[in-house]
Amino acid sequence: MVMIRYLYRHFAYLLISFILSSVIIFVLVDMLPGSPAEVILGTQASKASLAALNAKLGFDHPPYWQYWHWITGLFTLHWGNSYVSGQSLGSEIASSAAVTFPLVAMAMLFAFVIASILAVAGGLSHRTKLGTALLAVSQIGISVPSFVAAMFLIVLIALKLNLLPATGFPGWSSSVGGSLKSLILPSLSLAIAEGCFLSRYIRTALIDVLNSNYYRSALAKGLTPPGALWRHGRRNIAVEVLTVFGMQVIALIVGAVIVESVFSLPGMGTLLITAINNRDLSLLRDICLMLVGIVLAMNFLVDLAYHAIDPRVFDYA
Amino acid sequence: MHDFGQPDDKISMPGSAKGYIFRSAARPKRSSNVTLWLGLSMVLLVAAAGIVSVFWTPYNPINYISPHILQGSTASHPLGTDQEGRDELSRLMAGAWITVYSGMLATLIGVFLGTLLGVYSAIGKSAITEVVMRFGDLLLAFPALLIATLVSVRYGSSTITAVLAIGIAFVPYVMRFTRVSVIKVYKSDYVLTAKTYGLGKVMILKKHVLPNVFPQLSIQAMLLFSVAVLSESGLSYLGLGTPPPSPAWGDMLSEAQSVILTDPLLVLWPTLAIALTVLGFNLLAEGILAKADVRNM
Repeated sequence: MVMIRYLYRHFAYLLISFILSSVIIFVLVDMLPGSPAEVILGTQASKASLAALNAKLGFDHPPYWQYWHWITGLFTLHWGNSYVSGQSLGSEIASSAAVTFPLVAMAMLFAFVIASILAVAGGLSHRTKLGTALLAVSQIGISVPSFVAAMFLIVLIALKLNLLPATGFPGWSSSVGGSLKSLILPSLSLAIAEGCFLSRYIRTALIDVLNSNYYRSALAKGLTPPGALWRHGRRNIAVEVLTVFGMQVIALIVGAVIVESVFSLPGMGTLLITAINNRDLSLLRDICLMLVGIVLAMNFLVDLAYHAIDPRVFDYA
Repeated sequence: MHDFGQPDDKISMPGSAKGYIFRSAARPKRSSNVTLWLGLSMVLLVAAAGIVSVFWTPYNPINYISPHILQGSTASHPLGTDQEGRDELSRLMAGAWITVYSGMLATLIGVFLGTLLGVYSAIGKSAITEVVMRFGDLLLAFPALLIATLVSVRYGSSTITAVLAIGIAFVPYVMRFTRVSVIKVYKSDYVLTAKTYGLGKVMILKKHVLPNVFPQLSIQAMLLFSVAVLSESGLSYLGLGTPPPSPAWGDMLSEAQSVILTDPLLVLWPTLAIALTVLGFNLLAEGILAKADVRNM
């Protein structure tokens, strides 16, 4: 019962946040001084040509009409065409999402693997020279921007060792294996910093469990260390992992935007940059709303998972 | 991770996480001095390079063009020259200044607005505080990158748009943090005692709450600063920050990327500079925390 009420309420928050976000984006993209036609044609263009373009694109209508037109169009899947490239916005965004989503998912997977290795090794060697060294490694990993890690990975693994493709993306329809291969380096460069960051939290959680009374009691009643960790430590550590993952989802998506431009992957980040360079306002507001929507939805899911793992949180919800 | 527009780095998330950075149980105490001094010296090195660059650099970082491009280390150019023949060391120093002031400005904006809203949402009237809180939650979905994008498309990108975007993106994090800290202090016994003495809300805030929240807040500000440095470099790499030919480290990286095969050192120098700054501030914050044990502050 509590779970269902909780779900309803948070779903309502999600919807309201999404609608408010769309208003914010609309205001920033469409309402700030300077008409969209001016943005496209430049401020030197004649009044007549500006008015003509505004009318052609529907920017001469009152703002509430434009907003309504945009939102209803989004929900009825009439996304229209870009007025710069003439491409269908819906298909452009869908095909870019087909690159960015797998990229972020792979990055999460790699990050989790890196974090687990670093954390378990670091947690077990806590207060030894090795443990300190591992802490230093994770600290350095956090300090290097992912796009720089990307450049070094390209040089080392793609160009010197020739193991994986350096840049570009063959497309899912032409080669699934090739596409996956070309996502490995980008997701790895995202995962290095993310994994190092995550590992610090898992390590602390692990050490907390190892020092806890319940873990000692579990050993005393005859469980082996791995068994005790699994039965009594699992959930406590999972809560930490999820919390940090929830915090880091936005970071991963933003990181993906930048890393995509290093690897020239045709994902949402590249599309975003294209939209800015072409001053393609309709594409820009659609893709911004998509990104915000993804962030909101991911936070919602993390919240649910978090509460599923740690039911105590309901007490405060 | 950290990354761009993300003030997440080790910012404790009150309410969900348990404020990890305030737990020093897992941190070996004796290394705290080393951490502190290492961090402090890195920070001072970067700050000194930045400040000196305002008055003096070996060469003009933008206008000086050497006839030798992509020159390795020589006596006159210790770090060599870049693909246009500009002195790498001078550019690195001037970039430190851009990094230091834009990072400070962004952090100040975030901390100022965030503290204001956070304190208000902790002690204000319930209906409006709820609106402020929800607004903060909403703002969480707008990373610096998106704000920078939305603003740049109309006004073009500059250091100021990047700084504003990063600063605004910090607001909800600082707000949450301040709110939780203020509420915690408000629930303490000494504030209760002060209330029984008839001290008003504003006086309690001034005499008890702010002095108690301030040390933790300044640690958070240091961590935010290193996030700001990463964000700024990411934004200028994408062309959403300081525009070339200004030697922002992100710009230097994106220019050096094209010659990474012939001269990988040109990528390495700005990378080291960024890593040094971020590492310095993280270590400094961690060192101070371990030394002062802020839990008991």
